[in-house]
Amino acid sequence: MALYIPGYVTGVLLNQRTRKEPTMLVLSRHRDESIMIGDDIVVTIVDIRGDKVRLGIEAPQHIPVHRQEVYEAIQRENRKAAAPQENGQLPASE
Amino acid sequence: MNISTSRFGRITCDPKNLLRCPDGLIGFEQMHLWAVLTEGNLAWLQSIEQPEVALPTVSPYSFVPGYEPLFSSVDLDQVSGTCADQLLLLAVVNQHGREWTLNLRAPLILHWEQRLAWQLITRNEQPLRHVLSRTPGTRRKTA
Repeated sequence: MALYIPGYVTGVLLNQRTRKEPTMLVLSRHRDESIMIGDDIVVTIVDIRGDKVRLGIEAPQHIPVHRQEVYEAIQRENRKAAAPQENGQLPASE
Repeated sequence: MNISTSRFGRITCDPKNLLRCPDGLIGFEQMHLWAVLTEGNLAWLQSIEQPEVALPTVSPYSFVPGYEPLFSSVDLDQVSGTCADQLLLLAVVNQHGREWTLNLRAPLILHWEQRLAWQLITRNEQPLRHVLSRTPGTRRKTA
């Protein structure tokens, strides 16, 4: 299904048929082109080299922006720290 | 109030001393209420909602004197309101093989007077696993 957001982008909504996953909008952009999320977040393709894309993100200060892998790594770290078997025997400090 | 926990068995704590995390903790976003138990220089955050979840934390400054996390002013405003001088900072202790590590990337910021805490991600690069040269320690009493 094609989606047209006036003035901005043309994209395709995936998973409209399966509905198993949250819907993901997939867009094609060239260097220096942007997408807008809501009316106050702008994501710009700053550079493309090989398989690496540099993104510029303009967002209001109250919206935290983190690399997904950083957030996920912290989630894993917390869950591991809380796992009973791992910290079962805290050694004595010297 | 009495709480049953997997790690500490049944514990008694004053409801007034429970720590509220409005956003939960990262990876435990649905857990908003925590008891704080101290054990030597460790402070355990024991989930009230999940008996098996308990996170050991320490003040990182006694292990990493030069630790300088940067936070966005918006994050800190949300935490402190107007009294940034009353904030405490704790880092989660972890074990990787035989090594003990501190998560300096996402410390907990506590406003103890209000019994409020948030886990914030630093704006500057900080290690997720800072290896400790000595182990955090032992005895336990209820806060």
